[in-house]
Amino acid sequence: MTRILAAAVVVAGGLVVARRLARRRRAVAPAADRRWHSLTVYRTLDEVSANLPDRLRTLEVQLRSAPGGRGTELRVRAAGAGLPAGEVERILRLSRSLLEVGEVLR
Amino acid sequence: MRALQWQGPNQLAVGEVPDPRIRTRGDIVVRVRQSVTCGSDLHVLGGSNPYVEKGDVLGHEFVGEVVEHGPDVQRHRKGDRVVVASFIACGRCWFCSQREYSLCDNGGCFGFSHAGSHAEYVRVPFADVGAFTVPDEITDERALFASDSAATGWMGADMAGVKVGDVVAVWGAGAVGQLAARAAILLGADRVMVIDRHENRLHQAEKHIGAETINCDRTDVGAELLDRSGGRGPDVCLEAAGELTAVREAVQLCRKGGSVFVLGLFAGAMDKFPLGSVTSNGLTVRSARMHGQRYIPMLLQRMAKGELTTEHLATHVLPLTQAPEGYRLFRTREDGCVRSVFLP
Repeated sequence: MTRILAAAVVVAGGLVVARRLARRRRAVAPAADRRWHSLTVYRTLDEVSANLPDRLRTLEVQLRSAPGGRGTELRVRAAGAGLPAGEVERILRLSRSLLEVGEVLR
Repeated sequence: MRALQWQGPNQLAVGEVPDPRIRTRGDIVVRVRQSVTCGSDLHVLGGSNPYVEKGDVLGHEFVGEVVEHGPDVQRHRKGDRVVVASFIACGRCWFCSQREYSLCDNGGCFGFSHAGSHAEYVRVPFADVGAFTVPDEITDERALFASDSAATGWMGADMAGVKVGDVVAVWGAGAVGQLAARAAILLGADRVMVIDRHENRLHQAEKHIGAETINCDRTDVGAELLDRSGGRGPDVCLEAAGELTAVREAVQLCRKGGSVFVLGLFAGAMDKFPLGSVTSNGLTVRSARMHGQRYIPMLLQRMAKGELTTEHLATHVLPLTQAPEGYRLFRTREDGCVRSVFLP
């Protein structure tokens, strides 16, 4: 009986902790991502601006040459209401692959 | 086709999976002739890699024959025997331009992000960058290890800056440790010492590699290294054991101003790192995953000349159908297993 009670206490404690963590996650989770995100593409400014992937055309985009011959710094953020967390970074990574190798490795 | 699949933590099974096919213009499809286990697979096997899913095919170190190629492939044709770098690299990003292929922005790794080589066939993306024709005079058993182990070992010795006259200590007498020691010898090191606790591996390091050995279970490694280096400590310390204690020892025992290279695969944080030794002794500490594309052509030349032999590392050669048993032997080191090689 003692063992059953102890197990019940542990389960109840776990539920309380889980509820608190869920509340904390809800409290800090951004509704939408409107921050600028940057990434460097190993292609010249002219090449990048002439071949901007379609997915980037729905975003605000800034381009500038990267120092040290590293290519072009691509800076983007979601236009309007924003995008779910992580989506802008995902689009950036896919765009870099398209610009550098013409495809996304699957 | 048949392939070795991860089915959950410490669960492997040989099952049927779809044949690979050309998906992009730079791909080749390779019929695997030999594929070998690697210590890094054990992280996946244990379930610590969150990106590997049930049913994924393991294996990243292999030699095989081209059976199909995409229209943009220039360097390979059907029937070519090739060894393939375990890291997939695009050859067109900034990191590839610096020859740091395992940092490729658009790549991956067989058996982790992409279907592995413990299978009858494997698709190789960016084949002109990562696949290399094997000269006729090199056996499969030798070429196989150019794919990863030999390239990893050579990279450690090279990037740690081994030079003529150096004293070099290598932690770990597995395939990578032995081949790092061989690289140090070929780069002109005066003394190369391999540290391990398994006598069969140390015996291999002496007999096939030409290194001195230290059994860490029977000897005070620090005292021994100091004695064998005239009280200075090794000029270069190469960690190839994949153990935190080995990293600590390498940092603590390296000579002032020396160089430490970590070849083992580590994930996450490491507590009690002897940072004071790094700062007080002016050490250079480096690490990398394998930039195989940088080294494989040179390694194949050395293999052809007989400077670099690897056949002894394949202690257990099994059909692919027995791959789960091969991994059990490899993981437990039972029966003196250094590496299990699978024949699809």
